[in-house]
Amino acid sequence: MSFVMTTGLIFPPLQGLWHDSWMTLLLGLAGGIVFALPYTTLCLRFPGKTLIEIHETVFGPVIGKLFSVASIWYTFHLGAQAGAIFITFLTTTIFTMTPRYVFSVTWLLVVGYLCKKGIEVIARVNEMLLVVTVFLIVGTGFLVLNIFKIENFLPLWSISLSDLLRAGFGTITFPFGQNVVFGLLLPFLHERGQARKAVFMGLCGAALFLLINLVITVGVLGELGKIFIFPTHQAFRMISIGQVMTRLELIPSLIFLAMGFIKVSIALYAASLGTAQLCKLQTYRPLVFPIGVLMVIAAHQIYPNIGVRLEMVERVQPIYALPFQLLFPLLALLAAVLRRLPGKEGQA
Amino acid sequence: MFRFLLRKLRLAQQFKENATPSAGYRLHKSLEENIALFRAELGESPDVAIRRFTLNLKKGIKAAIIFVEGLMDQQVVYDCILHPLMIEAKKETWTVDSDLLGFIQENLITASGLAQEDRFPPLVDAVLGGDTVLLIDGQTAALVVSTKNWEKRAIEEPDTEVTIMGPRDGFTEDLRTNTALLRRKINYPGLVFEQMVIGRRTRTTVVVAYVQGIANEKIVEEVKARLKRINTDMILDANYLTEFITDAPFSPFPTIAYTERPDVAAARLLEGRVAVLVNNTPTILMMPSLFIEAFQSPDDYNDHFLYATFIRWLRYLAFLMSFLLPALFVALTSYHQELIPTPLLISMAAAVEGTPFPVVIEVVAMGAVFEIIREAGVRLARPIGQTISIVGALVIGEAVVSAGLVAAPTVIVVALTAITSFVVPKQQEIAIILRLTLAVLAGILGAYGIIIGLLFTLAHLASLRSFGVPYFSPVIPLQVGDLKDVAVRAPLWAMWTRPQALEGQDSKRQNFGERVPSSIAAEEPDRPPSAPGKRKKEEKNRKK
Amino acid sequence: MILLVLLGFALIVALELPGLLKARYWRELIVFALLTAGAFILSLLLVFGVELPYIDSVLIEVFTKLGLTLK
Repeated sequence: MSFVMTTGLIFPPLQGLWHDSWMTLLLGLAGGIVFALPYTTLCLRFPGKTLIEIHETVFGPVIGKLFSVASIWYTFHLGAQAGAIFITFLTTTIFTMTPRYVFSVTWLLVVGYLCKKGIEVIARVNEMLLVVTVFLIVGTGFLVLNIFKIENFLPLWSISLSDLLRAGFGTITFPFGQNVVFGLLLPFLHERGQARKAVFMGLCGAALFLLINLVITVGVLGELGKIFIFPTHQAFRMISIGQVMTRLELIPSLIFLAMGFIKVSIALYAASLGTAQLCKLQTYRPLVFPIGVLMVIAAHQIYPNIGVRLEMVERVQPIYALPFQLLFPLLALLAAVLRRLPGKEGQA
Repeated sequence: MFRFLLRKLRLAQQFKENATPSAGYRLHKSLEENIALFRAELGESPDVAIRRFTLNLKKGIKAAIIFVEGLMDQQVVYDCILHPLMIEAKKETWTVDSDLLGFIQENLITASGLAQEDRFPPLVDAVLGGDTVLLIDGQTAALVVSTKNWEKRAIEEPDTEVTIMGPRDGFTEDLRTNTALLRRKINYPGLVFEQMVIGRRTRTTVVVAYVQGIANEKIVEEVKARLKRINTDMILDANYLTEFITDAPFSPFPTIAYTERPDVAAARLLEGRVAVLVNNTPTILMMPSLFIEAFQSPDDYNDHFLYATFIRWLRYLAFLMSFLLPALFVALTSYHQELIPTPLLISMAAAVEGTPFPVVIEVVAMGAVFEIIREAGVRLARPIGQTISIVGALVIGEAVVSAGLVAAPTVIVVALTAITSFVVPKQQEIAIILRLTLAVLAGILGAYGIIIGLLFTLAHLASLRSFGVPYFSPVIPLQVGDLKDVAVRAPLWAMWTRPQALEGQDSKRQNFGERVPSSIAAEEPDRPPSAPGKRKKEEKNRKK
Repeated sequence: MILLVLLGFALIVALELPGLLKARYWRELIVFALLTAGAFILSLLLVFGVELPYIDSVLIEVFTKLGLTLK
């Protein structure tokens, strides 16, 4: 859940369609749910198996490995992306003087520690942070009431349907479709039968909070919001209650930062575990730090400036992510159905 | 060369071990030889007394008693052993059959605890434990008379855990007294004490206590297994055990709790925990222990629950402040000045002006100074300790500011932190460690550093377990039912289950929310007399 | 800077290697060594200021050439 939330909170979906962005968000949610279907079906079909193992059973060892490598690359890329976003965020908004590598190294230390402790610890820390975040978002919602302008949402329906669809499609792949990573993790849920429910609940919850956040941001900033790269940050900057509660932008951004840690940890965990399973290793733990270092390097080398990043998100990301998010699981599902895997006997 | 030396050493050690007599060897027939055995084992220590006398039964038989002075009751030895054997035996005309020892045991010695023993090592243990050993010439067995009695501290209120209300008794150094205190609190046959001896040289008696039918048996077994695996030669204090059996030996968080109060121990036992009592220590260990326990004071249960809840929240706040405040102060003043309201910022800037050091150094240094003052005051005699704190607090605090070395806000922050850290004394050590690390991190990386430190701590807390129980539960993983004694202090009749995290048996304390209803009828009826009329009106309305 | 990188990698190796050797996880050791070596070389290249391609730029280029971009 927090996985989707974090990036979305910092980058509200989509420039261009500013005051109607809440609609794209809902569209994204619907799309995300559709996208999650093949994955959860797969996981229910092969209980207790990760995506890597499923690939191998379904496609056979050689092609399965190819698919697995691609999936691992995607998770790795996701983690690196998230890391890069947060490093950029930090160096451009709060710590403009500190060199980047300071952040990436400390980042790596904490994320590596979390990963080494395993998914259970990541999940528990996440739980804790989630509660804090929810409180903060709701709380700040009240704080901005005095500068909140409902007019900022007008006019409704000012965009064409095609624009809306395109934007919605972007939202599906950009925060909402990133659940591939969970394909690697779903088997670790305590109650296996509830995998589908858990994912849906997560998506809906995330969408709800993104929505609240979006409403706050749009309501506060209005047309201005378009020019900022990190509008949420700017919105909290505007908070001013009396002389005491002023410019609280640091607090939400730090919380989002903490959530970012979780996101990268999950990605790193998934990538390490995937690699370990790909190579048929007994444990993923020794791989955490090497892959982590690689991820940090990738995060530094992911885009030269934020412009490239935005271009990527707008033009390439949807297409690039599509195979990983929809095509692979669909193919796997198809192959599984055709080959009648797993046999009924095997399941019992 | 090295290896050769090592082998030699090992050989020598083996030789030595062979030289000491094997464990099971027995007594001789002759009294003198037995006494010589004891002398050889116990040396010529002046506190080991050997009293020879003649057993005046029919013909005079030589006998001796051996005991350690100071560990036994002189009166009991006289009344129960010497007097009957020397005086009373003379008066009567006994018909002694072949079993002399059995006869003495049954007819003469009047002590309540008595046993026959023919192996030598247990006899030595008995003497060292305060019992008296009776040796008789011509017998290959001896009698062990229980005469344990030594100077004990009286039961006092423990200094470390003071409460305003509630019982005033505290554990003492004496194991028997402590078990008795627990028995008095839990007058239930399910309270089990299991005894073992740990420490090759100190041979400390350790008692594992739990309530059968409530405690999780797996945890009980685990505690016993871990205790048995300890192989050291001295256990002088409860903490010696803690460090050997704790789950995470390097973690600064205590995964085994301690208390000096029988009421706390009894409450914990009845929640399904296991207690370990160590002889010669007034502190009792309790496991598994959760992080949240440190915030529960026995006073919480003696006060009104609303007030107790409020106080508990204050405690959480104080604990947060005690490790976060300096770090936040550093981060705010040196990185995120924009977050400080402008008027405050101006006055702070005025105070900081002219001080030579960065805020981090001020905070860390003043924090260290405070810890030094505290440490200096703690171990001194009380009047001197007070002088030290006055000098430290007033003179240094005041002088340092007026000399312009440290800004006044820093002193305020450090002082506040110092006070808050005493609100939760059981997690105080962690607060100190966290406080300094976070302050340094904040000095390097601002709020980002704090987040990193906190996340690290959180991850560590989430991964810690105490005897299989997640240390940070019921917060993470969330167990809603257990929050009734964490987020609030629910009224006692609403705390109807024991903590689920401990996975004990018989989790229900009482029926849910079952209180004792008043048996005196309320003078005013619940429903005002006009109610029937109203009802009629309502019916009319409905008809319309 | 180079020293720091060296130190970091030495730390990683020192942290992981004994455990791997002790448990005789040879496969793990090989994968670990490969990954670490890769990371090491890349970070050295970065430190020496070699211009490495940016991932997103490469992706954008590839996808543009394939004609698979949204306008």
